[in-house]
Amino acid sequence: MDILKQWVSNLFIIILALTFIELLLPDTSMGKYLKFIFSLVIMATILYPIIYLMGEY
Amino acid sequence: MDHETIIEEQLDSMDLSELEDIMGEATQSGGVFDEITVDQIIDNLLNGQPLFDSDRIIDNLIDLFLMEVKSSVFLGCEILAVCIIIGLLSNFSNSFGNKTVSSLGTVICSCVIIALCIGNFYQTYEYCQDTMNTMTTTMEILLPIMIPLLIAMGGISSGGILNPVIIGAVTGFNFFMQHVVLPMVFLSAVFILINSITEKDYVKKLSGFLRKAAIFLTGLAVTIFSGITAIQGIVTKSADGILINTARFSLDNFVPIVGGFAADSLDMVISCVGLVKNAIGIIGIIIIISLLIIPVIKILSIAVVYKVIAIAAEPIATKNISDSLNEIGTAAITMTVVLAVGALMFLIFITIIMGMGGGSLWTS
Repeated sequence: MDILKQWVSNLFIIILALTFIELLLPDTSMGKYLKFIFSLVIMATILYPIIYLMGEY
Repeated sequence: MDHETIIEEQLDSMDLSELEDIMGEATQSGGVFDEITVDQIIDNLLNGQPLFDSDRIIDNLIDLFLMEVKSSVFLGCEILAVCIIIGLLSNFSNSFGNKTVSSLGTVICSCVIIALCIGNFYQTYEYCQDTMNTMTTTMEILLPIMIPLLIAMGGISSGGILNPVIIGAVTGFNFFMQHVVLPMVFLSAVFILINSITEKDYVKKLSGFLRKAAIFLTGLAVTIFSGITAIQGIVTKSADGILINTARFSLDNFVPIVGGFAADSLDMVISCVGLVKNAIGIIGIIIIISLLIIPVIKILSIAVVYKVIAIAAEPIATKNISDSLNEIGTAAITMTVVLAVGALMFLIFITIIMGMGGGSLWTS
């Protein structure tokens, strides 16, 4: 149960924080690369329970 | 010796105070049904009178629904106000010159809406869990009263086998609901809300998956638990039929002269005990329905409020806000569906016990 709570709150905070950072980014050529990296981070967070379970068994 | 003395003796020998306490609690808070005792039910059944006043029940239901809608209207107004601010921000974004400012404002407004919705939805979730707990407690009080009556009327193997099976199923189902299904529905609602922050969909599929999985798991659990119980009931019923019919036959034929009267009076006693058992079963059904109906109406009214806000916010707010409000309404409805399916399973259990026996009905 604890791991699930942690996962949900992590996901929430990461999506919120990355959305804010994305808004505040200046429009430079690096912006699109950063957005891609942010999506990778969110994907990794979503997959976190699966990775955790793989480690358990 | 007539049937009334037998029923009275049977009723006197039982301790129904716990059941009547729960009955009083269930009928007082909200008050859809009137309080009714075992004696009254038996009287009404014997005299052929109806058990409920259906007009009053419908009136009470409508009153309760309107009251609950009224109490959630405040939340609706708060959310709608924030939606109007979002509409203002997105319409005036040109005059700020900088697009970042207005989109930042929109995100902050979404956060406010999320905070309001999560607070409200968490209350709903806890309410569901409480209701599940109370229904389980009711079953746990009801079964030790009904099963001995079942055994008293000849259902020896039925009572012996059904008691652990039903108690196990009820406890297991309660645990399953509290730790798997209801949290899943709650998490799916949280993910829907997270999704409303951003323009892009990050976790929409995940929330849809969680909700569908919760509904599927509930259906599966109900099918498994009630299927096991029903099959056990059918099998043990025929075994008990053999037993009681053998006893009756040998009493009738092997005891000279008075054997016939004794066999008939055995039948009468068994019928009377069956009536008491079924009256207690009816009380149980009334308690479970009245425990269920108040939360269901409360949550449904919250769902209706969410849906109405979603409809009202559609022209002013952004698309993902109104979408997510709509989805929250659906999640609230899902919670009621899950709760109602759980109550249905408890009702099936009570009906299985009630359907057994009753005098010479021990045939299969």
